[in-house]
Amino acid sequence: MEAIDGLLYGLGVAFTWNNLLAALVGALAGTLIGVLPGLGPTAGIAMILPLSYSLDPTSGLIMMAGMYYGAMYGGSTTAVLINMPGESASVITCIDGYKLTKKGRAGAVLTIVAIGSFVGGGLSVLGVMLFAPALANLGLLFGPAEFFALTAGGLLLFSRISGGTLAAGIFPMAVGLMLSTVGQEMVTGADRFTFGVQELTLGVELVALVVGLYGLTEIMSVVESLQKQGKPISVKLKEMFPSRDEWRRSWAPYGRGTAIGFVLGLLPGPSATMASFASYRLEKGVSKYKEQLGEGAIEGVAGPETANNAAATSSMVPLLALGIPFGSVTALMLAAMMVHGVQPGPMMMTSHPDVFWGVIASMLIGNAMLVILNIPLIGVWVSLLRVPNHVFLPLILMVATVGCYSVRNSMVDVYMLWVIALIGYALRKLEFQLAPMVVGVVLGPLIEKHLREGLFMSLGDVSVFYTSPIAIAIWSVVIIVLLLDPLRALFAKLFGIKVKKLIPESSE
Amino acid sequence: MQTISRSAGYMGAGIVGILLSAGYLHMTLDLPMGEIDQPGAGVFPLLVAGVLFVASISSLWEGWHHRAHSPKLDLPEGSDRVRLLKLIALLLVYFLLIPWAGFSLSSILFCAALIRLLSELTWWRCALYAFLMTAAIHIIFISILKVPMPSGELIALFRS
Repeated sequence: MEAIDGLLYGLGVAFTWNNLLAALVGALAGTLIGVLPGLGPTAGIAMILPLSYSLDPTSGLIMMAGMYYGAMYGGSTTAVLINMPGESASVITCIDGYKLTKKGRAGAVLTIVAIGSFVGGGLSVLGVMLFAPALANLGLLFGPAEFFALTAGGLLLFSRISGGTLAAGIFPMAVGLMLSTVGQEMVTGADRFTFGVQELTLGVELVALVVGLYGLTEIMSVVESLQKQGKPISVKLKEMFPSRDEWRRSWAPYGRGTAIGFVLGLLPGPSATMASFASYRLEKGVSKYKEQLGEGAIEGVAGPETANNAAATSSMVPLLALGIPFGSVTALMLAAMMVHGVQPGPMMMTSHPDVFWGVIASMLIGNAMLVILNIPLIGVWVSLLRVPNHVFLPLILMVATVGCYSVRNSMVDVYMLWVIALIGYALRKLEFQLAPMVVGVVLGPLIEKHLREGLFMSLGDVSVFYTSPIAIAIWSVVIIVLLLDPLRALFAKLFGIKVKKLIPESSE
Repeated sequence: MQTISRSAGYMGAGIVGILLSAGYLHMTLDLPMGEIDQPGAGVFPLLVAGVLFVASISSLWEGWHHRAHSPKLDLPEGSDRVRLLKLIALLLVYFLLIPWAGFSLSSILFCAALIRLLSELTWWRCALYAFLMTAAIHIIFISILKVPMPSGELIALFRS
């Protein structure tokens, strides 16, 4: 199916009442999650994961994708109004967004953000539509050895560029891989590391892991540093219209943000966060008004907010085309697909075209819904910011408990939630990255599957994993990225050449 | 502000990781390894044990290497620490109470205690808010979405 035909087919799938409702609910719930502190997109999506199991795979994934880009938009609302980012991709928006709010431009900034999110998301969908099938065609050349290189190498790469030092990424990744081996083994059915607990034969529950790591630890941080909540200013509908000058200055950052966001979304790592930071740096370098950035310039909001939505959208490409999640949210989506019996990857376009094209087309519709609904609904989101901590934190904790229990009707998962929250809190305090642990748990079974298939098909010849051109290319990239920091140090020591650090200090 | 050096934390994590990888490896060796062309259930965990060991060593090494100029990480202290510990304890009691007292009753008690911890409201108002919030969650998840949350042994005892 050609890209245009595919999109038209996808629009047909997405324009059913069920899927439109799923996109609407996802976009609104995502915005809510982004607005509320204490609940990021990863934990929020994990909590609705059990709900998505009861929907058909297309509707479930449309809802999850809607939540992801909805959360990107919602996170920026708090960044602009009360100088508190709802999630990490909106951190950079605080700088100029809040300064513009103090100048009385809050409504206009929120409109620029909403339109930017739509432009970034919408144009990125067109990129996904063209790029995903091409990548899926390339994926058809992959055998178990190449998929092993892609999953294992991709996980290593993701862990390294998630932020912080080498150990900050690979230590949690290794723990995640270890957790992925708990439960009944796929081929022989042997129980591994279950300690005789019946519930553990199905493995470590992903919802408990993600809600514990992201939701509960975030709530623990909020409770720990409980401060008087900032009161957002009221924004009236008539204040939502940007001036001509603000529009004129936003178009170029929209374009640059879309391009940079789309490219970064295709790569492993916290793409939305990296895209917003990269876009801000780009604006500082090329914008006509670069000297105003940091003092309340519209470019400092338009560029990053467009970039993070574009990245959130294009991060679906590796997931849909190759079946490889390069982030914790896409890892959850992969888990949801596997529960529904949909195997993402090169064959998905032919085996499940409704899911593949339906999800892509729904992103276009969902982004349009966001812009249509969120501008008039801004008053609702602002009023939510006035809900005190002692009301929404107990509610979130109750919903987290229900969500965690409902997956397998098991109290063991709920107890695990508590244990994982403590581990996550300690790891976060020590500045370890949590996303590699989640991706490790999801990719672990796939890496094992490709490893065993590769050994079986090559009659035990280990060289199969590093001799094909594709595997060599993948492993070369992984090795180069892993050696970046040692090489940087070596150059500085031997030749006195100082190269700027390429890997961010932290992304979470 | 009470702090901990990041290098001490990394070294601690490295030591825990090494012990964990040793225990994990010990259990892995009891699993069938199979043949090289037909790997058994123990092969992948064996690799994972190796990866965990290497990752733990790297954490230990990074902690040791940067110990002289390691950044300090803030730890909660005073009333902040007490509040955090109370939240952790409340969550534990809540989760342990659910199978016994049922989801709804446990939730009311948990919410009331948590609201009291996070606000300066009187106990009566905390209880009222807790009741209303639990009722909302009950209606949405148990009555409408039919999530079979535990009703509790205590309730079962009363019913019988």
